[in-house]
Amino acid sequence: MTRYAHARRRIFPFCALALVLAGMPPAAAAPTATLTIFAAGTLAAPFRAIDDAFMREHPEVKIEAQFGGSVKMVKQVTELHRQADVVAVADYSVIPKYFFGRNGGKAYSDWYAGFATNAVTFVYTPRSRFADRIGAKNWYQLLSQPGVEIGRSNPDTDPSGYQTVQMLSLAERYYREPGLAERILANAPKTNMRDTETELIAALQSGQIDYLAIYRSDARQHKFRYLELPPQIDLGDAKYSGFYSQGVAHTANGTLTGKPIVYAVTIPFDAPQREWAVKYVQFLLGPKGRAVIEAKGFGAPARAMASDAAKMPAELRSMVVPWPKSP
Amino acid sequence: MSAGIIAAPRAAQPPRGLALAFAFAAALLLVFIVLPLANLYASQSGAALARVAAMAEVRSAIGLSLAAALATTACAALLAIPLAYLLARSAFPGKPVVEAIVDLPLAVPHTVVGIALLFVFGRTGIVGAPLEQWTGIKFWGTAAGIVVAMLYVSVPYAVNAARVGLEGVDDRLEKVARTLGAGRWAVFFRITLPLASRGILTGLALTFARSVSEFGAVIVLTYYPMTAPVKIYDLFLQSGLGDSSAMAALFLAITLSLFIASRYLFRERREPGPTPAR
Repeated sequence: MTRYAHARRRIFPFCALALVLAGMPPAAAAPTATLTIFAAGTLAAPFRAIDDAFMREHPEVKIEAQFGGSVKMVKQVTELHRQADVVAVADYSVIPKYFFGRNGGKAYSDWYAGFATNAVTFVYTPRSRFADRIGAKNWYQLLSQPGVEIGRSNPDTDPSGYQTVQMLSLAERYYREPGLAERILANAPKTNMRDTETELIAALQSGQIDYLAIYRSDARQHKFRYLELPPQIDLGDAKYSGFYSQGVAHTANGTLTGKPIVYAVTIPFDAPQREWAVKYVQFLLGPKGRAVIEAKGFGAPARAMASDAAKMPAELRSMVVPWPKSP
Repeated sequence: MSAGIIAAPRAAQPPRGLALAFAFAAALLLVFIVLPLANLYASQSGAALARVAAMAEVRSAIGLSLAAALATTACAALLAIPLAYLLARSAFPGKPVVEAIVDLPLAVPHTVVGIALLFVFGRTGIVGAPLEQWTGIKFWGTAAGIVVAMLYVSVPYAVNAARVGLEGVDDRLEKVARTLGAGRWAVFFRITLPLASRGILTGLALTFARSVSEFGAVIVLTYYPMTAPVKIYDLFLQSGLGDSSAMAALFLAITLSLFIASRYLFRERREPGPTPAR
């Protein structure tokens, strides 16, 4: 007993010291402003890097970022009435739909800027069937060969699922090969389908499937081999919006037509830290933000594409170009 | 089986305090097991159960689970009885190692089982690749994959219970049969197997129960077609607690009634005797 008591007495000063140290303020100046960002889940990788870089430049700001499905993040603002300083979504059309106060609802914003693009592609491994001879010229012929196993996400529940089907529908027109989409999709039956395509990465790595339809950003982040598809069909270039709209996917939610995959950002009217939000978007659209976006495998247009530059904060207007051939 | 062994001597009544304490602990344990399931039923509405039962996907998932578990049980019977017989009847070097190997699946997390099986039975695995090439049988996303996953996690129950059953067979009866001119195979099928049937059937019932409830190993190999546990998880993610718990209640009602029926059936033969020679 006495020995334990002695030991406890010896430990006590150390505990006290630890407590004092833990309670001490950090050496650097404490942040005075908190910037709240709601962003699409796919943007988690680039935004975390951009947030860190921004906070290093501005130690007085602390960024709290939340990631999730684009519609879910937008509804955090419109339905749960949570205040955000910056909102970034994976599908630009989500912002006008929920934020512009159409149909008499409350308006939360009146502009958006497309700052990053993505594209649909197929990833594969050196062990995949035809891995040694597949390329941009012959991919659609090889992927429709019987016995090739293709994974994809569910077009009824996941954007990447219906975007893949739209891309194949566009390929049919682009290569003038009727029946192409059907033949390729026959190699991607329901057994090869999940609610998110990233759930199938293990199946690709272990050789259960040969090809996986996935976003190019994921392909680059995971350092997979991927197919360079023509920009006319890969949904990666806003200037082909007109042609993209001819790509169709029939889903449980109706027939969906293709549109470019453009990530858009906005600042809600009631952003609590409006000044910092503008600085953050400046950083995001500027060279440092664009470098990170590209490093994480997304496309970063030379100038962000604005829905309506006149409505943007003055500091941002010079950083954008008008949306190409507004859809 | 163990209950029979303990109850058999029927010695002096245990002291009262001990009996009370044990009865209390036993009651607590039974409540712990039954309460969550009973509560699952109490929170169901008839309408939700009917809605879920009307879903074609739910019915096919339950059907697939039962069929795959039955196929697994048949495989387990074929594979487990010979090993159980050897363990019950012979002493050989390395026997403790074999016993440990039999119990190994019980100690491996089921997702790990799934991943390990994927490497062997998958499209590029050492078993999966040649099998697919020669016979066309695939294990990823197929019923065969479900059975392999179920078998791996449930077969220890079949071996261990069959072994206890076989150890309980009096080998003098077998020797008598031999002296009467029966061959080794005939003795096994007409004397040993019927006498050990209760242990074997108990083991197979446990194998079936374990198989039908398996989730982790199955989902790694075969997400689709969905077994009932996978479909319940899918409903849990897609449509929330209401539908998933309704399907859970429905599935449990079916499996529990099967399990109770099998217990009841195997209890019939209280005093197993050799089947009369035909």
